[in-house]
Amino acid sequence: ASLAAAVDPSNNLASERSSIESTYELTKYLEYQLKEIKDVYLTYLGPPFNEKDFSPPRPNSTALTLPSAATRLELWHGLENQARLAQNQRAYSILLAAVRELARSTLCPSLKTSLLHFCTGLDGLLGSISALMNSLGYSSPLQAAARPTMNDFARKVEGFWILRELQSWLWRSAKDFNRLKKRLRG
Amino acid sequence: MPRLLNSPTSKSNCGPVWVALVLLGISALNTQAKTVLSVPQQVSLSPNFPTQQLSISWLGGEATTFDLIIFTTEFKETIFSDTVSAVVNQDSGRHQWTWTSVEPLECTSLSVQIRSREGETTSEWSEPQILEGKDLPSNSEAQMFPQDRIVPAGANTTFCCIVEEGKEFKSIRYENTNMPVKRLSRRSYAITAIFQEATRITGSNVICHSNGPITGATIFVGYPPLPSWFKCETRDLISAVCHWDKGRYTNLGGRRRTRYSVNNRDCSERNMCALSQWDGNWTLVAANPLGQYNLTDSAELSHRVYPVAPLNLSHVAHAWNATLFWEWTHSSYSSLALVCQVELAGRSTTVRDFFGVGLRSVFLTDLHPDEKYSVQVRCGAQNNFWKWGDWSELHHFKTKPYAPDAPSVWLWLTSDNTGLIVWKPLTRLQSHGKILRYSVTVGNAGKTELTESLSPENHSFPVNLTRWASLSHDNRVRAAVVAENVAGTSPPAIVPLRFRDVEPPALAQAAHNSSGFSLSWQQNAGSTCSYVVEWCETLCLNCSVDWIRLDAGNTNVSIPSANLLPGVRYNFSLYGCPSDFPVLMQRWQGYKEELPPSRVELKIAQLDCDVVLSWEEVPLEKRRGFLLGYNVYISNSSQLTLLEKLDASRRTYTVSGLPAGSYKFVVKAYTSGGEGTDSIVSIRLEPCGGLILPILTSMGIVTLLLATVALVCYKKRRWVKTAFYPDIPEPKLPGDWSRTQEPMDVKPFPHSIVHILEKPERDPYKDALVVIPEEEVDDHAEGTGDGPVDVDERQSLRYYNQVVDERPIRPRYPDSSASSLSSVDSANTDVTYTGISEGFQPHTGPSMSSGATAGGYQPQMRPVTLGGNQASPEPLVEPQVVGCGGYKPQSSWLIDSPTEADERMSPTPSLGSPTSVASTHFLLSDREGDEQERRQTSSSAAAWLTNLLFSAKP
Repeated sequence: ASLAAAVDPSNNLASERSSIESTYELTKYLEYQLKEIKDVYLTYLGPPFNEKDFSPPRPNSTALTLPSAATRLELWHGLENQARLAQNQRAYSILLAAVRELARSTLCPSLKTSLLHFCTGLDGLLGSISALMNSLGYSSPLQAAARPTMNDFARKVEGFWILRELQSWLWRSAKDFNRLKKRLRG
Repeated sequence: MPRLLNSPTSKSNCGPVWVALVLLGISALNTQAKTVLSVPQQVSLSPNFPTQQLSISWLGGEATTFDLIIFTTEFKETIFSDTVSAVVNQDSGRHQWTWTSVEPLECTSLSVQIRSREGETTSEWSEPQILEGKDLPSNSEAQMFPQDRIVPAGANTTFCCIVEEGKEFKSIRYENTNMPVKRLSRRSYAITAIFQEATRITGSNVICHSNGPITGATIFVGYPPLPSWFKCETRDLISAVCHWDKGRYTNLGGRRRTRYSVNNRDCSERNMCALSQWDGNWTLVAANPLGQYNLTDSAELSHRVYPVAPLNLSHVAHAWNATLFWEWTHSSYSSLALVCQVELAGRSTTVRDFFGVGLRSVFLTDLHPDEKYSVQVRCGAQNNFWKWGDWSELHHFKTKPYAPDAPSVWLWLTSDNTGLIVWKPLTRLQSHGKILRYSVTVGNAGKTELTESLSPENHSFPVNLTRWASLSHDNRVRAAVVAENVAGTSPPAIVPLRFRDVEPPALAQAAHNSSGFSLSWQQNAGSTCSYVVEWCETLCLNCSVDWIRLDAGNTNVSIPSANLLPGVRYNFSLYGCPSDFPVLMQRWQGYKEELPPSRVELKIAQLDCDVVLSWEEVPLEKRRGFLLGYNVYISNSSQLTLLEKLDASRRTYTVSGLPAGSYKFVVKAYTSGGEGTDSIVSIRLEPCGGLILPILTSMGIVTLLLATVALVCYKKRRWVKTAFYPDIPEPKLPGDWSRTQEPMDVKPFPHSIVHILEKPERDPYKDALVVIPEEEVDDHAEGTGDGPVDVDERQSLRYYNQVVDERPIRPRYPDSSASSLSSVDSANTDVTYTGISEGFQPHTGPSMSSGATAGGYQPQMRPVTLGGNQASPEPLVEPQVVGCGGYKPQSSWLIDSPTEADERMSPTPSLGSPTSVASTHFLLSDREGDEQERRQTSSSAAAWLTNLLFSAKP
């Protein structure tokens, strides 16, 4: 939440770099935290979700109406900073809502606690990205989505994919922020 | 894991169809003859997908029974075929029948046909009515059914997978198990899981694999709710609170969880229901997707009072009692008859019950002064008791102090003229507060002579008994001890001073058992006095003394020994009338536990041939038990051999009959606790002097006797001569042969001269190492034939005239033949062997006997005729003979031995000479050889004596 504090656009470059650095660190922390939660959550879903080679089709559900993080690297790198940041913000806002729904529907109390704790961090990351965009003079897109009715199996597949996408996004975001930091230095 | 079962829809197949056709044919024939049944019309199918039920309705005319057939539209596989009695809906006039499918209705399209039946008469089949499945080409995506099914544990469930259009089916997995598959249609495949076990809360996953996208379903297997112990009660005497036990785990959660309601009020959140009014009757409904369970309860309010915890506890405390106050949350309790429990925790914890209407305070008695207490209260309804209310919070208070109790006082005599007034420290229960000081007063007949104030750490006061005895006329001096705390002083504890203890006649042993030292005594007849038993360590004067007071009439006591030490001797003294005039009645000594004693101080000495062990008495402090005796061992390497067990009174032990040598002895004292530490001594036993002394004494006596005899003989030499050496009568010879009488001329016969052939320079010690050549031996000892014989014996020295009949003894040869040969070669010899003959005529050479018979007096030798000079040209040496010499009658021949030249001339040179027992030759020895003989004789005697002396040494 502290990271979500708005960064004054008039701040100097060092402050922006520091903000990016903090965002980068938070991203790495969330990436590490998600790795542990994901294992527990997939075990909670039961086999075959916790099997290594299990890969159900990515559902085209509301929670996953975000561009896959599996975008080709050269295409992703070809985007402007603002576009990438906007994509990041959009993705995390959708994924945050999805993870919150996962936490709400989780019947295991300890896992629910872990997911909610992760949501707090993810919310902070979202705030950091927004602040960063503001400091760089970009505008933040906002989205809201309704959640359709799904059967339990489809929900499990969706949860599986939410965590997978989130992991990919966090991995890519860390690289984005690192690159952005370097560019600002240059 | 569910067991596997082939789908019951796998009933075959074409048989029923043929049967139907045959029936159709028969029906057609009958139609001509009988009434024609109407074909069911307007067949309608109404599926319920979650329940997998298909409701079939139709207009069936007059018929009451119908044949019904259901088969898969695509594969024409009959799933159901039976004759049913359908119910007629009175409103619509339609027949209706419901069929429950094993497979989900979505799995594939089903066709239904109906015909009327009246006995054996049937109508035509209706047109097939089709319930479309989800496997139609229009639904090309992959699907699985059923979804989100909730079933009870043990149920069977059939799943079907509809693969994506154009994709190839692979398998269906139920959790981790690949299931056998039944194909329902071109794209639809089914499995059945039987007797399913309860799943995890997120359900079991069924996954359908194809070369298209994965699809799946989740099934939840659990139990219906089964709550118990549903009860409602009141806390405020107005409202009701209902509780229940949820019972077994249903394995269902989330939206499938069990929901509870009491009297239609939802109570799912906390598993309890608070109702604002006391209804008196309640119904609990527990429901989940698998079922519902109802429980009821009914009661009057007064029977279900569950009081709340008392609040705001307070107190008013005194030394021995206190009053406890509290408040109630609900004013309605003021009229309620209550029973309250007060749990009082001080040095121990007690629970006390109090009764009263609207109870708000209790009076606590039997408390101890200056004591901290913790208290808590709970209450219940006195009438129609339902349950105890909640405990209040803990409340703490402390009682006020009070004057202490009188201490227990005793006089301990530490010596003949001093004593200690001792008293036991007051316990918390006795002190009633912190002790500030003790006051000791000593006085006589009410007159105080001494008052001393002592700090609370002191528990003794020394008194000079001699002084007090001198001050007292009647020996009735008393000491009083008073304890003082903030609340006051204790009553005085009085003990009379006694100036001397008269020792009882006997000192008994005190037996110890598990409960302590058990002491008993006989009561004096008519005595009404009480007793004191005092005990302390026997040896430790600075140690504390303890005592116990006993009422009159007691004749035994068990002294607790928890604080006593094992292996330490304690004295126990019984005093009678301790309060008036204490009299020492009996004494005991005892050990709490006897231990092995310490080692003894062991000494050892040799007395003549005996070994004497002695040791000091084990000091009392080292005995560690009642000493039973001593065990004496002799140590053989690592093993101890018990020589004797001695009683405790013996402290010496003599070991006799041991040969000289080194010995190690161990002595261990022992008690009933076992043997003590080893005391080890060792000694090197010298040879005894007793054998030498008698020998020397005997030799002295013999010497003295011989000297006496010699002296007597000298004094009486004339008589001796006359008696033992008479003059030999002169032979009567013709002519002038007479001679004056004179002692016998013992000059040896000239032929008795030893013929010394050569006198080489040599080592006399090598004389014994000579060899007799074989031929010589054979020549001179012919017929002996035996091997070498040891002749180094005195008996081998014989008179030659005795030896001749004996077989010759070969000399002992030197160790080395080489040296023997060299000896031979050297030809250095001391003696010459000559033949011996007694009436013996040597077959070689002329007889030379005539000369012999003309010889002088030969008292012990018979005349010997020598067979000529048989002296060997190679003189042989008989070392043994040389060493030992031979018989030298009257010893004259040595002195008057002829010269070498005379010997050469003598025809019988060896006459009078000893003979070699080995060679039957005369053994001749020169002077040196004789000296050697004497040396040997004397040296052998000396050696014998030396051996004797030293052989006695170890």
